Amino acid sequence: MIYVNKKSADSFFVKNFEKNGTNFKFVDENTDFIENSKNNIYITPENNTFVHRCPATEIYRCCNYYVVDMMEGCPFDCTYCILQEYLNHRFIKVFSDTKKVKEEILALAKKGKYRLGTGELSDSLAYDHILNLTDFFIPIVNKLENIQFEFKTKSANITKLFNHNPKNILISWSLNPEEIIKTEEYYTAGLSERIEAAGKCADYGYKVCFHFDPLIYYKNFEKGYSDLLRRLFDRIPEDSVEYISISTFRFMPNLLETVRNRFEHSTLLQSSYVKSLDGKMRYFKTLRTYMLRFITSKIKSEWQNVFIYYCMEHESIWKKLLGYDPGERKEFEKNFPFFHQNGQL
Amino acid sequence: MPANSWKLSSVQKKMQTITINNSENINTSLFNWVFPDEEKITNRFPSFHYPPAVWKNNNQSYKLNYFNISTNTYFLLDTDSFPDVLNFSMDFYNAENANILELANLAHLILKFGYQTEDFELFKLKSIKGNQKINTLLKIRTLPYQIKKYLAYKNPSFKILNILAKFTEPLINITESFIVENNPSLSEFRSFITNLFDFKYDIATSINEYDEEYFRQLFYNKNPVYTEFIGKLNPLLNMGKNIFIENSDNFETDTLRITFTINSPEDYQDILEKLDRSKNTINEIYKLLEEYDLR
Repeated sequence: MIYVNKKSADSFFVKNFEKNGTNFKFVDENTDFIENSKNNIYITPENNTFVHRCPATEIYRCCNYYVVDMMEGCPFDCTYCILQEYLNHRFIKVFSDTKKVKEEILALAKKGKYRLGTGELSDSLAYDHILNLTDFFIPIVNKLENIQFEFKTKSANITKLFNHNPKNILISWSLNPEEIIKTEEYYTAGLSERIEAAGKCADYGYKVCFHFDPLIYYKNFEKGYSDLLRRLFDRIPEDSVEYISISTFRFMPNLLETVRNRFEHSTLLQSSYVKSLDGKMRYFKTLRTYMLRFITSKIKSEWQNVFIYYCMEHESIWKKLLGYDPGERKEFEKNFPFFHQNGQL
Repeated sequence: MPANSWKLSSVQKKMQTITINNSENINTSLFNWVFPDEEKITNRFPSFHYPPAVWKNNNQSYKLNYFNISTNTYFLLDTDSFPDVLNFSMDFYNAENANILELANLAHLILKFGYQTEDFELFKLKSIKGNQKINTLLKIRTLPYQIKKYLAYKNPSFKILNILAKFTEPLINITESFIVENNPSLSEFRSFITNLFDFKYDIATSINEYDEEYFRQLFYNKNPVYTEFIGKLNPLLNMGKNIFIENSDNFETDTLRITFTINSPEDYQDILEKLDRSKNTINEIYKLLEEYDLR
């Protein structure tokens, strides 16, 4: 069910709901009666700082990515998802102040070149057929030379993308082997659907990205990820791929207790982890290095030119596996293809 | 009167002595929340100076203290208020020091009489609120005696209890035999039951009690590389008496801290000689770090 705060009656969302015949219900400020379910959407006029730098801790290498948080909550239910700990509601909260969101994006573009994306506190495309957020973001970003905008998803909900100009737009998929999708990524699209969706976007002219994040270690790690990559190589042309990120599963210490409570079949429970330098739990560095090396070399064996980066990884692993230290934030991001376009650096 | 504002004196005023000839009509178990049984005869509890107290409710009598004493004479608590009665009992047995099983028994009793644990100050004091914690308490009441006794003495956190509360019968049996065989420390216990829970679908159906070698091998799968690395590292860390070598970040970096203690210039000289002799050990350690991608 979609609930709309009465103060959001004139919003972009309500206009779209009315135009498309989407059912919704106006409500007052009190949201107590909304069932705290991932099936519910609540459109709110609440204020927020929408555009901000992706939160990252010191020590591990951070790529200076910016996020725009217009949605909080996700219809998918991934065992490893930080939102289980971070949000105090399960319904999807959508902020209706599109004017302020646009202003913040324009303000960011004036400050310089930035990589920006949704998908930090929600899935970028899962509800696009209802919320039409691609219709909102893409026309804005098409006109901004300084912004490269990424929609990050585990869905195959791409239909609306084909109404738009792919300029400055990246569509990215988080990928895991089919058996991991089944045990850890509930309600998401299957691997074949994701790869096929990426293929269609690439065929249309979008640049696509892939996030091997979180990489999860399990009994068939090598076979599972090898099969995944083979399917990816078979469908996606290398020159459509803007970049690939790889990072192993990491989490705040309390998350495993939640996993034990909610997902007792989870593969995550069959590994142990160590506290790392930023307080998060990670696989022991030897295993992490093994996993990252395995995936990196598999990708490089087929796609030699794609830019690969590690999200929140230690400089020693960068040096060992990729041969250089990307540095911190601003320095790091200069390695992305977007910063090499038009001769700019 | 609100349940949490109760004072012992308020009930004492309502007491009168009665004689009950047929003590079989008295329920002696429901208010017997003290655990384990042998605790009742230790000096934790008042000696038998007065007749036991009983409470009559809906034609049923409940014995409230001195459960191991047989008598025909009782103090009758003349009240309709369950909170008054329970507070009398909690005060008599000093519930502020109640262990986790006693709290579980009290929670059971409170719910049985249609009240909520939040109605009682004790549960606020112990920060026990929310359905999950109460359900966990109710579940641990049903565990075998040896596990309950262990929990009562060790008073583990709810993180541990929540895991135990999810155990099925085979896991409970394994846990019971683990306790009986090992009398584990709390951290050993926590580690064991966490691993047991995480690997529950991999345990052979033929395993229904603790088998050290079987579980050592099973749990090894959780982090074989780390276990193997630590196994090779530990022998290299012995550089001599009073010299300690450690890495403080789980080998996220290759920084090693070497510390030593001395009490005299001679000790210092001795340490220097030992350090000099151990150059090769340091090389070995860094070779090992290299081998395990930790540099």
